[in-house]
Amino acid sequence: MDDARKNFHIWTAPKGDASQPISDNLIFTNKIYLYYENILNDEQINTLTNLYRSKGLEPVFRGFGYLEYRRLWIAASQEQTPVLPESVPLPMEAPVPFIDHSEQYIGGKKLPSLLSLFMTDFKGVGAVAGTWTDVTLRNGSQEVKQQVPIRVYNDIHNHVRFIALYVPPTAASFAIVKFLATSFLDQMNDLTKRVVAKDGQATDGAAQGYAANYPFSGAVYVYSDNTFSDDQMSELKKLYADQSAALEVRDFGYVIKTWNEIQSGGRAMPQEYKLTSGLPEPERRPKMTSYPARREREDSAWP
Amino acid sequence: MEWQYTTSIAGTVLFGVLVFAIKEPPPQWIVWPLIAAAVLFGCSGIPWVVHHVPLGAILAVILGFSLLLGGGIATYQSWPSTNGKTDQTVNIALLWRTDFNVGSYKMLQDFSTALYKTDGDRLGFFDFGVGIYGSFDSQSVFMSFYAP
Repeated sequence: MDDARKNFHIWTAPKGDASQPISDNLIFTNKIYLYYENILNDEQINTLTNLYRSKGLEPVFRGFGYLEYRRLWIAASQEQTPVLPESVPLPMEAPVPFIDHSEQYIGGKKLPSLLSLFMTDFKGVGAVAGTWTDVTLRNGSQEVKQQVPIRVYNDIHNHVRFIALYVPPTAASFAIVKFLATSFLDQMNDLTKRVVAKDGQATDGAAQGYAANYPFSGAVYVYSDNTFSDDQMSELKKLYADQSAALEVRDFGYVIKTWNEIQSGGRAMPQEYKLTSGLPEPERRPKMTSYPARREREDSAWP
Repeated sequence: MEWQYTTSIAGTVLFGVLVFAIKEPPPQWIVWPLIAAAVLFGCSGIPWVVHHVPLGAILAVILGFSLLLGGGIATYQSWPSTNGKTDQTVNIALLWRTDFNVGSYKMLQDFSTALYKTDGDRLGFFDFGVGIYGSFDSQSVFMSFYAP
């Protein structure tokens, strides 16, 4: 709904018809009609009803009972058989609808963002250098620009180098990861060169010596707030394999696994980061929550 | 009673009951021509017809009329706008797409997303639909969700 309010108002009426935007003046009734093909038992219906109500929504379930009711109504000639309306294709310039997964909650608790995991994973592995690259993609008249943070790690224990990329929430995630398959090696080598020549006077020889000490392990970690289909995943893995790299996509599933580790005490909650025009920066915590450790102790001391 | 009457009544009852007696009855474009043929055959027992119309002509008329009737019923049932056939295609997906056509604004969108188990393992990649409906008269908007 938020997305519709933000984005759809710029859609033009495709055929000059009476299409209108969902303006902010329209009040959301909180009613949501749920059409489902599976048969849900009473307990599932109750669970779903409570879940939707906890989000402030009022669900109306429309399953097989509703289907039979409508079929009988049609059979009794009380209404016409519904006919699919003629659909109008999206205007080419229209933004692709996109669902932002970057902020997720379980049991009312905010999960660590993929950006924060991207910035805090691989602690203790050795040296790390960060940069970003601006990716510009064109699809007809549509142009997508996205800044992609990059981190290159030198694993001092195994004497190898590997790379991690963070793709911010965007409808063009797949295209960006695909595009980076052909350029991540250049990005990594360029960053290595800049790190070796700390004063900015990079020499190819120094970079090559550095590379010799830490050869590329082949590991490429892509942190993506978007999820890819199985076909897309296969295509990406093949593209990176062609560059002698093993792609590991870390998406929402990785967030859940990390969250489970945090809940079991095997890992600390990472510092939250935010995207900037340069490198991601730590988010400043509000004053009231700037002393979480003390707060926890106080809570635990209470009866 | 002429034998044609007996045969006609027996045939009409047999084909009429057939629809209710067996689990998978033959289609209507077969049953109704058979019933019509049985009734027409009964008409061939009328004394004037027996004396003036040869049996071959009667059978030809019965056959022609039955074929005409069967063809007509089959055509009617296969016609897209008739209720008898299209009733089969009414399903949840169609209702989701066609419900709420009276408002000022209706937008349906299809999405795909991955879903995960509580341990973080990927359950699969699934499609779903979201509908947004607005009424500018009542200044209100509501939503729908379609789970295939």
